[in-house]
Amino acid sequence: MMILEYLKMAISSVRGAKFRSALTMFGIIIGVSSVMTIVGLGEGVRQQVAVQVSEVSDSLIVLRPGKRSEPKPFSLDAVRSFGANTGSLSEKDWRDTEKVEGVLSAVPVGIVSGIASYGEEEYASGSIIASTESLPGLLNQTVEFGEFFDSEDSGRRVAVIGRGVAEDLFKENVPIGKSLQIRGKNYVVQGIFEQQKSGTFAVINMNEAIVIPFDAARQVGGTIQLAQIYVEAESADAVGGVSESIRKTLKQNHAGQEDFTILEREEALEATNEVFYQLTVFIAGVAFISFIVGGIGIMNIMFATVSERTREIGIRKAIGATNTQILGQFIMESMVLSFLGAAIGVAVSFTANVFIRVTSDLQPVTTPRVMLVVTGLSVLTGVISGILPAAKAARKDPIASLRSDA
Amino acid sequence: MSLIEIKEISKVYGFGDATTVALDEVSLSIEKGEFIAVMGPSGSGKTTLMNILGLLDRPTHGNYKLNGQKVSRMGRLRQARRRRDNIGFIFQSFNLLPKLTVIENVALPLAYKGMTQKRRLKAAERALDQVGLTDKEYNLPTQLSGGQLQRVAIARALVNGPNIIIADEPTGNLDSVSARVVMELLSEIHKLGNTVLMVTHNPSLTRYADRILYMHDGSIVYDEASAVGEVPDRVQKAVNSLRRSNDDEHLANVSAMIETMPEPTPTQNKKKKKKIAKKKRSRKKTSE
Repeated sequence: MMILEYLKMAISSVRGAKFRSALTMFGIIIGVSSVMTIVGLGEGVRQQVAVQVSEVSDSLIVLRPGKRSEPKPFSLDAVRSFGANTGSLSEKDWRDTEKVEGVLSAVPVGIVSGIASYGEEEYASGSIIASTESLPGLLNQTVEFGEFFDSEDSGRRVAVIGRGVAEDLFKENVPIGKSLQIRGKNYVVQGIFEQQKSGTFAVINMNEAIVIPFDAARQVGGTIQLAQIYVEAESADAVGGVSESIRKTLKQNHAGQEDFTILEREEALEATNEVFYQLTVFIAGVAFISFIVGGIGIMNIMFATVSERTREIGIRKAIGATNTQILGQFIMESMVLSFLGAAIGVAVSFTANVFIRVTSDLQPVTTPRVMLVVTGLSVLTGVISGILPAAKAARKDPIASLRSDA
Repeated sequence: MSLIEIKEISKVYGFGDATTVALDEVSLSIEKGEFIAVMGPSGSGKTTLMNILGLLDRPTHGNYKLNGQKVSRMGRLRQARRRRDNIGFIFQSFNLLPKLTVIENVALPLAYKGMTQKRRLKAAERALDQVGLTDKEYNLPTQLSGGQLQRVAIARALVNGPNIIIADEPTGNLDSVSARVVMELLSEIHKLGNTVLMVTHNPSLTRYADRILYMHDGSIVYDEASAVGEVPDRVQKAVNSLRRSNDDEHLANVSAMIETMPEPTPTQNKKKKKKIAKKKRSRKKTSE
């Protein structure tokens, strides 16, 4: 009952000072919109990854070089563990893994040294990958034009390339039959991958990848470092046992050291989530700070408002407003300010999301839950930062207030 | 039982050497339906007395009974409710909220009572009708003249159906024609059975009152009944004895008027601007 009255009073007083109210809300608007946009981005990427993982066979095991250590919170360890530790997986490890009982197939992802070129054009942004015929099947990646190489092509110098490579290097959509050069050797393009949905679960961005047969990659020279080995176990139930056997085999190869990581499907997802979890914690910190700053902004203006409206407070008290009613009125005003700020912030973040979708291949997702939490937080900020000024207003002496000029 | 009964009410500001006694053991009882004009020079405690009677201020010492109930030591919340339900204020500077329309201003006291908007506006309309301003309902205060503003303020004071109207120099900011309209309104409200307390510097306005209080240095130095429609001789004499004055000399003239007053009744001390402790001692002596 009374709350509705406070709301009316608050709205009319916010309307009475539009410019100042907008300035007051600025901190909250920036906080809400940035938090929502970044959380939306993270959530979008996470969902994309999740979709990809779910598309991947559930009997998949991933071997990565390097010992996976528990990443320290708030460090770059989690990010670093992704790509940097190449070197500890060798071709022998791959061959031995293939022989482990229960392994259906093992597919290496080797990183070939060198830069692909076509005429004068060079393509440096993607990676050149040495692999085998099972790669597309394991990653659920289809070839849109032409076809992937098969086991008989192992020594032939052919390449299957991603969409991005076709467009950037060859400047055409289907450059099948043309050849690209890697360290002076020609490789004939025989297939183009279908556009890969964005996200980086596979570590490889297939849109920017040039995949060549493993044996043919040796001809390029240099070393082939294995970024990972994908293993398909014979069944989902066998995954646990198979990965144990692989662990034993590889340990023998590495003189008893476990300087590699074996990830089962869920773990692979977890590792990815770990990064996003830390990102989320980081954002939460940023959000916290921005809400504090926004809250102080509101408190500041509310204090100014209270002293500016001293006379109004006196009048209201003289005609029968109780201290509680004055308190309620000003807290409500601060709440309305913060709520409006949150609403505008949400609108800004929606606009930003549309902009991001249009200009990049990221797909930010805004969940209602995030929206509610962020809005709730800013209203809470409004209440907390409104309490002190409102209490000051409520405590004002009616007589002194009536006598004041303001 | 009197409507208002105060006993030895004092109000002291500051402490130590800087103590100022605004009210010095004032006792007074007011019956329902009286129209009281309070006169006196600036600083004589008129406004302080009104604020205490209007429950805006608390006395330092003494008892205040409103409607037979002791209110001087009541909690702030209950005082605020009392004020809302029993007392209507009219100020010299109108004190309307500039951002609300006329009718919203008038309806505001009812909002604090928790009345629905519909009933509130209805009551406000009735009050505005009483002061003859129904055609200005949706104007903002800035669009009204001083006299009209004061009538709006009167409507606001009336809207709650209070038993006491406290008017602190209601005509102080008005030209003589508007002042007359406002005074006629107050007089009408009085005739309807309301109790009106009015502070004024203008002796001729005492003709609307049926009782006149003169205050000086925090005490009521004279308390006189007078017939409505008449300016009492004493006041008239005081007015006549003053030469025509401009505004700057106004205050001095009022003081001069007080000088022409007869000596107060012997039971009351006149000069009392002393520290409380000293004063109490001296009081003991006089009673001995």
